[in-house]
Amino acid sequence: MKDFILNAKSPNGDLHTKWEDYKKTLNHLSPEEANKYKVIIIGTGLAGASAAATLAEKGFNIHAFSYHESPRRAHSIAAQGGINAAKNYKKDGDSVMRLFYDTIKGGDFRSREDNVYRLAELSANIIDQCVAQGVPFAREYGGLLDNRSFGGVQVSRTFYARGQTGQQLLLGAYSALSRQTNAKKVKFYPRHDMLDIVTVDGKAKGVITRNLLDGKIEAHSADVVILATGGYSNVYYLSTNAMASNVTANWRAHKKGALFANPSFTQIHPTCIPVKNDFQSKLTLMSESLRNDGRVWVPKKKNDTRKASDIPEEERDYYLERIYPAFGNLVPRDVASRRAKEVCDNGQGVGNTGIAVYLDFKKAIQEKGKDYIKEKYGNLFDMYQNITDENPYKTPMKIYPAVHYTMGGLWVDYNLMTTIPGLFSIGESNFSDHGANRLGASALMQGLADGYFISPHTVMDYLAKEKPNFSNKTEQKEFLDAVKETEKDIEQIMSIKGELVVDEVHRELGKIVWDKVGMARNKEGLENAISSIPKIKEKFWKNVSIPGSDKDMNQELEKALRLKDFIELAELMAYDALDRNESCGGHFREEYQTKENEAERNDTDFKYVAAWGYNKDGKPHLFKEDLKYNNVKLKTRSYK
Amino acid sequence: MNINLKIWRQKSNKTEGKLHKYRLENVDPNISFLEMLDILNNKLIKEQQDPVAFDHDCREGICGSCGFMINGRPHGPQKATTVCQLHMRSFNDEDDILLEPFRAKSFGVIKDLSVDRQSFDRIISSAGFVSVNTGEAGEANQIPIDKSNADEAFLSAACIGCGACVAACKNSSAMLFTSAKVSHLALLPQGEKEKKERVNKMVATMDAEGFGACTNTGACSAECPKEIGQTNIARLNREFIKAQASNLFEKK
Amino acid sequence: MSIFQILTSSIGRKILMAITGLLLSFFMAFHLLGNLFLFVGEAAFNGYVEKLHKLGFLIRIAEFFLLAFVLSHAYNGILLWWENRKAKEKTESYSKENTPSSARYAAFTGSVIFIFLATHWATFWYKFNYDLQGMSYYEVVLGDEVGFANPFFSVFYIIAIALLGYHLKHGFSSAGQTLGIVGTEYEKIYNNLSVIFWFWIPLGFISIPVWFGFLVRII
Repeated sequence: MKDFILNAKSPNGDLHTKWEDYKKTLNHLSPEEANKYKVIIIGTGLAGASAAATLAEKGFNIHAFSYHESPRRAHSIAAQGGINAAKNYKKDGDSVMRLFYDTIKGGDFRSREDNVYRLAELSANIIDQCVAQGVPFAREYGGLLDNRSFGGVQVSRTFYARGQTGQQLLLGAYSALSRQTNAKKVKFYPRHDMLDIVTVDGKAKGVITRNLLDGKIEAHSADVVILATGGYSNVYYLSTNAMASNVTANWRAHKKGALFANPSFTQIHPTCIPVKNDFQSKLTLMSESLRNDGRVWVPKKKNDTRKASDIPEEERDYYLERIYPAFGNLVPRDVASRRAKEVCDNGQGVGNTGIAVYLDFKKAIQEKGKDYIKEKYGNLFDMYQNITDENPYKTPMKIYPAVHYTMGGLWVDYNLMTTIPGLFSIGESNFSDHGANRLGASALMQGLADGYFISPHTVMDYLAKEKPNFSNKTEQKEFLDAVKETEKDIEQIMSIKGELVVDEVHRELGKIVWDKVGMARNKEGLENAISSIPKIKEKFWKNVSIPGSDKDMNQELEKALRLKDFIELAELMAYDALDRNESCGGHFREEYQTKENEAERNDTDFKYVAAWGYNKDGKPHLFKEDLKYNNVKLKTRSYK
Repeated sequence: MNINLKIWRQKSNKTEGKLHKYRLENVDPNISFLEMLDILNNKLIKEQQDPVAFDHDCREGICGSCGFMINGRPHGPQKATTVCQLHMRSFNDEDDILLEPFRAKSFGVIKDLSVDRQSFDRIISSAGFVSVNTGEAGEANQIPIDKSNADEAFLSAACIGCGACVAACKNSSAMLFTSAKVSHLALLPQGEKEKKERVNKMVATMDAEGFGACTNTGACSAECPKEIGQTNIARLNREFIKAQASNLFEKK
Repeated sequence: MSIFQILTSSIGRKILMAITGLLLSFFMAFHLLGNLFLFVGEAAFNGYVEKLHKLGFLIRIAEFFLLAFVLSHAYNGILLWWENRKAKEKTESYSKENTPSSARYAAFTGSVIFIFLATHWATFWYKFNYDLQGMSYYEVVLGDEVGFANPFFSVFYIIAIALLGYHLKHGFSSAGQTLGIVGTEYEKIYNNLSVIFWFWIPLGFISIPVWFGFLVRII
């Protein structure tokens, strides 16, 4: 393992003008010069599509890959609640500084000041851009854009399009991308899985892909590679992510030398529909905007089997309002999730499984009327009723936390470049902006800031220093070798011919990760996970069963190729969680809590980003990036 | 509950397909339709048979990946619901359930229930956008938009591009899909400048892709999981007529 | 786009269908007004037809346009039907539940109506113009050769006009969509007008064979 000196490359200067000043120092290419370069982008969700469109507008030739048939299928589409922007339209005292501070604080002081400030600063541009594209944001009767408040903050700065904000933003980015496809600046490769990164002289110069339709392994070379491949929540098997969301591209990059940062920082979303049975294939999230009007409660009595309507008001425990009088039901996600687990562990959970809490709209319906609730949450209520067969206008919803987002990801510097030169990582796939916990309505913001406004500048700067000669080098040894290696991997998996279906192994892995590296972690459990995950790996390589041929569309093979990387990632997550002897954000170590069961952060020893290097033979290498806070004061998060 | 499935099996677009029968017993009525197919596939894999291929991803009814014909209806019997949001409680014990891919000349079968819908992407990329480069946008609140227009544009923009409209149409017409995008942008001032060019190019691409003509049967809206309305098609026609009329007029 | 390209695009063909269909419907309304003279009496009807014939050249021009509309409507209808068939792939289980039958059978009803029109011209029109054989127009219409005294002819007439109404039911709703009237402030007026055309006017036509062909004899 080669040594890294982790240099975030944050420019010097005043926080408030840093990005604008820095941008002026970056190298620029004219469209004619840019036309000589080829850029590979993996993943065409919010981050990937917006970066592809913007770089194409600047003149670069983009080759964009997705395992979907169309960019419009990316899981960004499922984000419901909204996107934050420091526009201060509501004149409630919002500002870039305030959004910056909320994000840093929400992330429990485990993210980089400079990156987060830049994100807050660019948030306003994102809204401008999206509105110009025709994104139909919600509006007030006067015709101006509407805002609402969203989990964990006390100002209204969230822009939304009913409960389908992600869809509308993705379709906006998709339309910008389509415009460039039409202009022949973007070539889109549908149904292609990226299976490896190719480096030449230490720099990322291409990828190996598998065509999902005919199984063909293809090499593609380029001058730079951008990963926009999303998060890895599916390591838990059950999550709110789409079925095919995976870590493979990032894991391949990691194995080739990109450091993986804070892998155990995963976000558990508090308002999901609880698991109903063993056949469950995925979990469904409902926007946490529901917490604006819904009240969370459980029966005060343990193992109370009465119907919700039979439990009188005084026997209900509105535990969030009780513990956090200031924020009440609007506490950040990690806090709301952990408290739900706590009451359920305490036997106060509701429903058949006892693993759920109530989210009650009775008061809001009484005070604001059914029409108001319908206008605001109609589609969420319909969705809930369709899945559970219960009417939330009449009986309270049952909710339980589920894995939803991963703050961890590939380590990147201020330019969003990984530790492999020429390999960038944007959107959820990198670790950069959310620290140990992400605030609501910030994922869309980060994806688009990275894609529209940051990576196009920093990638251009990188390319301006590179000679443009990698658009057609797939006959080079590095590429031929990588193709061979990938083909060997697939051959090996196809030859196992065991008895287990891929999902069975995945479910088993997921249970371990959820139990030991989930909402609450402890040393014993993590050590246990580190010793049991290799057994699952062995089981996979000895006993998994892939029917059919690898030369056709083979959805089981696709799953297997993803699972093998999830297994290795799971182990790294356990190592990371074990290393971090503190509780912060989504990472709650049971040994480190206050008397009131609040997370106990340790800034003296753990005020760092844990960036892990791959080690084929055992424990991964840890590199630390110390976090410096010059503009905010480290405080214990309190939402009381 | 027990069910009798008949599923279209086709190895690839180069081979012929046919219906195969499968029986599943003790199906929990509370699982989703796709979870039922997961169970069937698990069973097939255990029996060393090829599992049924079908497209799906978010399983929340928003990505538009899933969709096939269930007893002749796209996304099955429940109104305004994608297959992934359909639950087995919509069926009865011992029901016969026939699954076929969405069929249209412009949607080739890839394998089993999975079809190629890239013709939709080509319609969008022909002109389904506003030509504004990143960074060129003005302040967002500069142009106020009527709430009613914004809301209506949103309803059109809610299309998930699943292809149910084409499958429901006796002519395999893509008018509902195309009109939803044309309407979305025609209703907003941002789309105003390119209105004429947009409708011309999108209709031309739609025709060139081999979709049939709209004969205004309304089946598409009735089967649309997002309930995209017929008024979109009328608006597309209106936009088309306006664009052609002003083109002819301008030439003289 | 050139005018040719417009008219050969899928929407262009539909617009042409809608316009020719609407024009033919207007003609039909006038035609009915003329026919209703039969109820006034023999002299009134004959006088009316005479007056039309006196227009001579103008009538020939009008007839030329009518024929052109019918042929254009039929030609585009057949072409769309054929292209739509090509766009659809065969299915085992396609459900017709959400496609109204008037739309599904529009091509079929259209074909029957075309056959009816051909007979209509070959009989009434031809006789009126070239082959009166000393009879009055009134006698031709109500006679037993090609007129309503012939029960087979009356039944065919009633069926064809009923199908025409059914054809127009779909035709008017479809034209409202194609011409973009749906969703505008004119939609309601248009819908009310269309009921006159697909229900009341065909009923008016049918009243003639029903009265002169059957009821007159019974009473």
